[in-house]
Amino acid sequence: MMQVAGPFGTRLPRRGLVVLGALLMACAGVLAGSLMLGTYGLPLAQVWATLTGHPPEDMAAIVIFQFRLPRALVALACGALLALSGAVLQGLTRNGLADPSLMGVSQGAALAVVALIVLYPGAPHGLRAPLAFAGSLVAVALVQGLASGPAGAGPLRLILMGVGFSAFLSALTATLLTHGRLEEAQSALGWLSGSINAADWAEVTSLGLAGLLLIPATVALARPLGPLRFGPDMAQGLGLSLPLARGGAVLLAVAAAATATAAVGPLGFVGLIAPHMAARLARTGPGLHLALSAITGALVVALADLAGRSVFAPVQIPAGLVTAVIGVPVFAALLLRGGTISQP
Amino acid sequence: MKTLSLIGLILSAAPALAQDFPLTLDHAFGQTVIPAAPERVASIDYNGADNLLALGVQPVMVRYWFGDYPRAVWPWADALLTGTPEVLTGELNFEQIAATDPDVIVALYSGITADDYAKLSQIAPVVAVPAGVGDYELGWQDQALIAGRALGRQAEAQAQVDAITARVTAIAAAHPEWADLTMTLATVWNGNPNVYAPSDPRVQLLGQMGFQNNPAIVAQAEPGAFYIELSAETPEPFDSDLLLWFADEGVELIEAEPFRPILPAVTGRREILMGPLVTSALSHASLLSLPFAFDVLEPLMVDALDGDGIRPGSEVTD
Repeated sequence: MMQVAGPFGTRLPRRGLVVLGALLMACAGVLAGSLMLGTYGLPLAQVWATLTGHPPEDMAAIVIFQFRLPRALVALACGALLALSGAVLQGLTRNGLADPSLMGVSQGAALAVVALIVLYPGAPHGLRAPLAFAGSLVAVALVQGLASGPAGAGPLRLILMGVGFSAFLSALTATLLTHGRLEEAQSALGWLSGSINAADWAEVTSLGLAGLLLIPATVALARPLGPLRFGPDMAQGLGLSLPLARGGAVLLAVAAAATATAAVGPLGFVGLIAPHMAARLARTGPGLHLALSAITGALVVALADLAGRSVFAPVQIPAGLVTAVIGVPVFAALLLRGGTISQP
Repeated sequence: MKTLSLIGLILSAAPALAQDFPLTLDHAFGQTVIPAAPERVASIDYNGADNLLALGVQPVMVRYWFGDYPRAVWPWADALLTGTPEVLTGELNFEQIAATDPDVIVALYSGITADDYAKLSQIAPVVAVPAGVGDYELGWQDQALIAGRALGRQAEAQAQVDAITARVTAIAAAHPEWADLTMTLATVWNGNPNVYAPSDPRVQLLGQMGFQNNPAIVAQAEPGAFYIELSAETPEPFDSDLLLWFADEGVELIEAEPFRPILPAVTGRREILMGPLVTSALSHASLLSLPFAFDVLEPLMVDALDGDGIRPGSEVTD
């Protein structure tokens, strides 16, 4: 039973809104947990004192406000952006396997950064984020260009070209890695594992701005794109200017994923699984589905990062590895339970 | 008399002048000011405990690199470490570093990024690599000297660097015949045989002991590349008077190289397979590990060049 918002129905998507509230509260809970837990021993009372402006020592304020808080916020923002990107792409291609990494976003970013690290070992680290962003955009543009036939980029062509081209980019990255020195490979692998460890307020700001721009824009675009769910022919019949709307949505989706990837490196599986998890929690209209997906993604990455730095503390596991380790079993379980994987 | 006292003044003032705190260090990420001679020193370098211990400093934090040593310190440094410092494993755990309450953080062989630097600087002043030096590219002398300067122990660091340099010169002087011989430092990496280029710091140390680089390697070396990946079909770079392998792992791959049986260095037993300890000692390239490596290697090289090297397939050094 689908509860449709907007032009197709007048009923409030009550279950969707309840789930939305629950997910937001869960995010708040993970944020609180992220502020409380850590290797630097701070009892709860001292965490509270620091948060309310009375840090027991200077270092407590640094640990809370410079280490724990920006890190948790970056995790939430990256998860939201990646999941949003995945949800848009899955809707557009009408394929539940669509994901930013399937369009070459992660692979393009990875190739650009690994090339920089291996070929120009002395290059400033600050170049990595803009290069990752540029690499993502170039890769997606190439996938789009290669996939577009006379009738435009059909969903299946796009996915096939994305898979093929991503594999090509990954092979180039692997070649560079085996060619590079051990030390350079070590640097590159650190970035490739998707670590939120060094998150700072500059990243919070850029990701926050991206989120503030991209999430409302995407949700707004979701309603006109809603008819796409019934297939491109029906959508056009319903008055949708297909190439324009689709192009705009792809651009937003790629910008969201590229921003997140540039900030923290490739974070596996979030864009793929978060929309499916959101769809399982509540079947809603396209706009609310995007919002639910984004918040689910935020929750998944924030939890993964918290787990990655807490479970084996003081040893930290990069969040990108945790999301992949959690993502694969969750994905398998979703597939095994069957049915809903095809269309979020 | 006046001149004499002036000389005396200069002599007594010079070391003190160099070691005045607050000390300002320029580096790749900007400028660090160390207000006073640090007592609590955290190292986030993969080889970091060595130079600190050599300079008489007990680190409050060391970083695990590789090897089965719970305190992350290898045998050449183990006896000097009195306590059990906090061990950093894997990613930089900023909270763990902060919890050691350091006066200074040494990051000269750690591959930190500008973001990492910014975070670390909030904990304590950070000693980082000079501008233009890539990750893990700082030479062993500068690693020791910069650490020594930051810790207020510049003279000790200089003395130990000089001692190692003198040791290398002495090895060369003791074996003048080595100057006519070629040498290849090789390993198997990703299943392929590699040789290290003349620019590799370990090759340079061997060169300072007298050895010539293999002309086939010199011909193929490209600027900025520390090693050359080769195909098993081109054995010339391996055809030196002395053939040294990093054999801390993949010994069976080295032994399986199809060209080995026809190499004169192999048939003449002028080959050394360096095991984990010697390989790691050369890679640590510290004030403690280099003398250790020389102690092991010098007699082995003498034996090998007498045609009595490690017999292939039977022995690997420590």
